[in-house]
Amino acid sequence: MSIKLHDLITKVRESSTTSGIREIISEECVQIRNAFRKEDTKNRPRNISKLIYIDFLGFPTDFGQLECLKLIAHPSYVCKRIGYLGLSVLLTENEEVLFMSTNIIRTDLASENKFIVALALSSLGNIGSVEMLRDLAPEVEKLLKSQTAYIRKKAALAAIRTIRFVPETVDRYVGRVKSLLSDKNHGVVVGGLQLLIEILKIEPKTISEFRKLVPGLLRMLKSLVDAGYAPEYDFEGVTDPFLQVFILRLLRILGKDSKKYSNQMIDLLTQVGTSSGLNKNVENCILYESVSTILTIESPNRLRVTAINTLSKFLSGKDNNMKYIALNTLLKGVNKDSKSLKRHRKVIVKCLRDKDISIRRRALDLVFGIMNKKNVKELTQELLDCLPKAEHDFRFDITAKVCTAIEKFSPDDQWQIDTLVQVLTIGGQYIRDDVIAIMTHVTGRNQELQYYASKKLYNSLLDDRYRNQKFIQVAAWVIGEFGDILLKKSIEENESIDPSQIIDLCQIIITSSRNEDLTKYFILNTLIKLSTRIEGFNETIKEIIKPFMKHVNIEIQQRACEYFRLFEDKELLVFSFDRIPVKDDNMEAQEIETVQETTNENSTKNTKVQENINQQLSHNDNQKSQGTGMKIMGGNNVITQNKTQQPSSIENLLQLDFNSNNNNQNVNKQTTNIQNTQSNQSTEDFLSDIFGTNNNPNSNNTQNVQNTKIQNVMGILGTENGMGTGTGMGRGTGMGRGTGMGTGMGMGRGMGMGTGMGTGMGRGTGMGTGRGNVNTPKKNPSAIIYNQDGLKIQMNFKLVSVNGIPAAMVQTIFTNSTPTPMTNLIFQVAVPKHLQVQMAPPSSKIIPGNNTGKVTQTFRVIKKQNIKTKLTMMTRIQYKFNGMPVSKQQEVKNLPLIF
Amino acid sequence: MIFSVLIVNNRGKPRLIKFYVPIDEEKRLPLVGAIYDVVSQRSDKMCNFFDGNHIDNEELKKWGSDIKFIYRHFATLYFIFVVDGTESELGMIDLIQIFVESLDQYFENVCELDLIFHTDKVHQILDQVISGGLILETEPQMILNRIQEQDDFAKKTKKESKKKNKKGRRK
Repeated sequence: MSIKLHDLITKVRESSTTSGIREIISEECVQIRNAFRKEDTKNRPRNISKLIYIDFLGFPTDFGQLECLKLIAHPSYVCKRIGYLGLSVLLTENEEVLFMSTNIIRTDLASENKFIVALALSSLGNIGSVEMLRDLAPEVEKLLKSQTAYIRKKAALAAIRTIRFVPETVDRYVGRVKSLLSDKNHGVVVGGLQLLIEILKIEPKTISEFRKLVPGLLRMLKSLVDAGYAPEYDFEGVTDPFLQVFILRLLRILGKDSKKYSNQMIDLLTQVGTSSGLNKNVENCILYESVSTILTIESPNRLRVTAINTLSKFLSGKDNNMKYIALNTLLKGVNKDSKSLKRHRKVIVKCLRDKDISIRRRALDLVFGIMNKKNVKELTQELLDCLPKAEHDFRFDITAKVCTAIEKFSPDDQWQIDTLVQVLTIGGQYIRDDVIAIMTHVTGRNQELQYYASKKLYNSLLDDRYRNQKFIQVAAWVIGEFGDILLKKSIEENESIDPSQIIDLCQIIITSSRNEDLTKYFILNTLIKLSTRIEGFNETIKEIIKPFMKHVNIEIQQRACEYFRLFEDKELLVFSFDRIPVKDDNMEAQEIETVQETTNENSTKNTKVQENINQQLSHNDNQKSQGTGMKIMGGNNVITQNKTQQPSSIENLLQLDFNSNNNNQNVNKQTTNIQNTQSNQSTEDFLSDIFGTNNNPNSNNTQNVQNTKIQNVMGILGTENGMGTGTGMGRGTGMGRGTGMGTGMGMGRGMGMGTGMGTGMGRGTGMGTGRGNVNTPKKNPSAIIYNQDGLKIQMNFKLVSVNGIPAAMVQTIFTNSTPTPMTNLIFQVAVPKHLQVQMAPPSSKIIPGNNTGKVTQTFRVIKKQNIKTKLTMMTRIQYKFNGMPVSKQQEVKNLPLIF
Repeated sequence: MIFSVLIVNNRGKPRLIKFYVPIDEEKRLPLVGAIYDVVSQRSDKMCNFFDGNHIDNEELKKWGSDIKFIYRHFATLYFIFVVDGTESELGMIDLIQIFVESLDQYFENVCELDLIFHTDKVHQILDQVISGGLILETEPQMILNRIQEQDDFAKKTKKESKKKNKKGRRK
């Protein structure tokens, strides 16, 4: 017994619990299924109606899809009507059922009954799949000429879907669309305009053809604007606003980048765009469309100014919708009209304080859009003023924009520091991570401001109000780094700061349970740095650190242990925590290029980077064990030999790295280089010895060394993770203590902050697990993932940071040892769902034979969530060898990379 | 392009769900819920627009980065249109008006119950306003005429088929 839809709905509504509803529905579904099975044709429409309702409640209804087909195949209109409705509601376009419906729809499109044709057309326009639309395109085209206006209109919309899904059918409609535009029925014209806009999107070349329509369109628009009351098309006193909107929109596309056609439009646009509606939504709608058109096409300056003034009027008005729209439109014209926008700055800024979040967000975008070096100070201040009152989500948006402004438009360093401190103090908890990098960068770069910054941060730190973690971290870093300057200069300025006060403050922060562990890492670093920068507090600092050697957090514990031990060797301590060298602005770019251009012989940039390293290291030359440190990092077998050659071994190793990557031609040059800088004869011999053995350009080890080294450059120069990302370097070497310390130290130094002090110091094993504040291990491993049939694929991994989340940059190198080149190379990578891969194109599609050259392709693996993960991937390589296509697929696991 | 038309009541119960792009059944209600959460928190004085990129929903992200919600609040119901950047926001407000007016005239002072018990009619009326995510008709009277024509035709065919049946039985 089948109940009526009405009764079912009543029943569901009477049930108060979800489980009750579920019971009713599952019972009903059983009934409906049974009816379907029994081919109960009488109740089929009713059952489908019920399924539409059940689907709407969120229950599965897929078993009803075939029944919908049966209904639309039924000759009766009533059945068809419900069947098509069921089809559009219950189906998605991916289903096979749709394919089966194609023929039924074809028959219905040819029906003599206009209602049935209309149903079929609607259905096609709503759910038509690619195959269906392609098959039925001729029918749709025919219906554009139908006698009934209503059918023509629907056919136009079905045509839009057709060209959207099957772009090659666009030619069918190019000739047809003009007749739609001259249709008597406005609805058909609207359909035609939409179709034309879609055609222009898919086939932009047709624009010159359609530009000829401009005079006609203008005539049509003018007659609508000037028309008196037309009851048929009237909408709140305006004649067919939708038609006007679509004409204006089409004009916008046609007039763009064409002076000639823009000129034709100007008179009418002036008339429409300056009319004083401003009361009803409809009037505003047309006004807004015409203003957008004026701003998009090549209109004269005075008209643009008027348009912008109109928008500005909206901004100061009371209508919130218009405010939103105006901001939106101004944002689009921000590049072209920055001058005329200047005058309206106040109104725009005022919108930042609007009650409505939608408007505030738009205003924020626009304020940022009009920002430049001249007004950045005032505008940033405005943004900061809004910060304390803004809601949680919006604060993130504001601080992000402020930080970008600080980086991008900063007029001077002092302002940069002032603003950074300000944004940190009032909105520190809403700030993105790289703010620390900005601060370290600016203080590192500008020595005169080091005192200024540290004093400012110190004073703010004393203030209890500003106790958010990010702020404390930045302050801790700056005070630690420049503590000596802070004290020295403050004495000069007679505002002497008591060093014990600083230490006390650190103690308060580190012992407070309110502070995160990350902040405590920072404070530990501050303390250990201060011990080298301020005399006479070593014992106090030791006492503070001591309890943390038993801290529950292993990282804190480790740091505390390491630092405590370090007090035993003053020289090492001072060396390890020496001031971080200034980062060169261009380094980052160079670094990236170096990695990418490893194949580029004789690259001057390589030499530059290398010189930098040399300088850096010669600075530490007197450190006895430095060389060993570098060696271990590379995990290279050169260690034993280097032991005997310590003073200059670093340079050797460095030269070696580059040489191995460049080709033989380079050797002489590089060697000369050494002679120049070091004039050390024995080194040269030594070098050539090693070089002889390691000359293979594909040597895994050397690649490894090179990458690690470049990473070190990053570290040394305190780049992005300026807070001294320590790294895991050499694994347990089990060397004696002396070497052990050296190892740790070399790294610590290299990593820019000196946090990477060998853990194992004194322990003898498990050496050099340097750790940093920021938890990115910076190892640059590599692996050969494929070595068959003469094709060798090697991957070099590098960790980078994308929006604060670690990501892997993978450089893939293809070499070919067979005499025949491999062509048409396609390399594809797939990663698990939680990762995302972005591929760059390969350097070439041909791998030359005999190892005479290599092809590189770089890709980036990004994590969707910040969870530590091991990199695994599926790779597919396709190439042509002797004209034969080769395709290999393999899973790559156990890669030496966790990120 | 219009991606979706939703009617949700003040308490978050959907009264009409229509998508013009394919979306998995199980993802529909969560998306509607997420949209309702945002819209219901906005006071009636605020503007009728909301940006989609601040709603964390995977389906929404699939549709593009310039998704907007244009909604209106009438008594107990929110009418929400989900559109992309190619649609005029103000135009959509008018379109909601047209849709509501059509419903109102068809049901003679439409109320929530009408929508609940006549889902099929609501769908049919909507199909006259929007087709495949595009604006079809913007004149309430035309929309009603069309529906009326269809209803009349449906009645006529029903009668005819009944007659036929009777005739068939007599024979």
